[in-house]
Amino acid sequence: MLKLKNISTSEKNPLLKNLNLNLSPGELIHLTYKSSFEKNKLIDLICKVELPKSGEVHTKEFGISFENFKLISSKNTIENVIFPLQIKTTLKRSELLKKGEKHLKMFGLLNKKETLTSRLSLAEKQRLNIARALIIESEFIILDNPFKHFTEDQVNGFIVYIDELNSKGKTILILSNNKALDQITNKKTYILEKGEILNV
Amino acid sequence: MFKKLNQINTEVKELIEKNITYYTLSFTTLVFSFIFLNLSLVSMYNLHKINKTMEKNYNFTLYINNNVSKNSIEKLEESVLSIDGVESLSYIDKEQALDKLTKNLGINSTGIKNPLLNSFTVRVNGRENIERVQTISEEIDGVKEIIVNEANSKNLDNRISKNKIYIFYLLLITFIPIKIMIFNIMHSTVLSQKHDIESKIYLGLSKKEVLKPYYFINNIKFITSAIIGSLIFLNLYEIIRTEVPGLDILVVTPIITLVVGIVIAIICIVYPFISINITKRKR
Repeated sequence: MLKLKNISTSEKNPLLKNLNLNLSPGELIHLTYKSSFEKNKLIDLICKVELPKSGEVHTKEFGISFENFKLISSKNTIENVIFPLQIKTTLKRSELLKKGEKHLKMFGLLNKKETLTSRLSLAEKQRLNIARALIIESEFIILDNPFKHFTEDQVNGFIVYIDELNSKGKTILILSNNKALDQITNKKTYILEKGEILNV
Repeated sequence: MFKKLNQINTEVKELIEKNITYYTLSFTTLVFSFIFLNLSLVSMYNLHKINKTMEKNYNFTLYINNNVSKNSIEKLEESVLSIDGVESLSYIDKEQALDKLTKNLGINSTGIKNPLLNSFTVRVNGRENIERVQTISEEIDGVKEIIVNEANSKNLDNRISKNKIYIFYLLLITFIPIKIMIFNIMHSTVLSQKHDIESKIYLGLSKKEVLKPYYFINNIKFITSAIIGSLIFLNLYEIIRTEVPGLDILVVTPIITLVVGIVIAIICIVYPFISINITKRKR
């Protein structure tokens, strides 16, 4: 699903040095990190916004939620949630909207479907962010700090949902330092430290 | 293809709806920038034209010997006109000159023996040509003496150099609307939309695809404001030129329209390509 082989980045003091990670189908990986810069650099490489100085990045199609949401401010909630489908599928607009509404309902945002993202609360933005990551129903999901802005109950509820997704065969990579993830037993935990991924 | 066009259309609509106030302000600023840009360009062009006209007004008086026949005067005129740098000659008959002089002095010219000589006022193109033309003219048969009107030359020198200074300052001032335009382009295309552009790229769209609707809006906004701003300016220019007394010396509107039109056409054709490069560099 994701293979990072001997990755090094091109800064003067490289943020990532000889980094390796291999995610097999159906795995749930919890990646903790010491530095947000290193974590963000890793996201940039996976999203192919940046190329590594050396090494290889191989990835299958994935849905991703970002720590800083990366919602599109000129679009309303429903347009934001269907955006990945718009660019990755050939579905008709009516089908896109139907699917979008279904996902918004699942995340309790249906009543805000016409609302501009600037008017959503942080928790609502986070829910929309995750809904958008899941809408393309890809086999591989990346969640960057998905519990931020959630209440404890919401965190616990979402952890159960992640576990369910994983048990249905989805490959999941969670980048987070949240201890609540310890509840999930069938996961592998790694740490991103000094530009490398190490076993915990 | 239709799907892509539809997508761009939706994106453009969304962007305009979201940023309508911002785009309106940006459009208005651009229109005023173009009026100001045209004003400074045309002022520079007019000053340059005035300087060119003044440069043709350097002159000296060439006095002819009394014993030179009319035929010889005509030959002398041809000889002087053929000298490189001579713009025009005007003949002053000594009798007419005496009449004018006595009238100015308020005395009766009857019975006065005319002490004056027939002469030519020789207009030379540029200060640097006076001495050369003078030296060549002195060698021509029938020329008695040449007197350079130093006061006139100094006056022209002063006015030309002042105009050159004005042109220089105007050139500096012209950078203001150009800076406003560049800032406007950068800000409305890139800086203000940076967050959305970045989000779309992270979500998997290529940079080229993401930037298409932004370029489209910006190019339309820029080109329309260029044309509207220039049309407003040209109309104002024509009114001012014809209605304000003393300003009919300004270059006529068809020529200015041509100049402004060429500038605007170049900007409009080149701008879409430049805007793409500017945006790319900035990102």
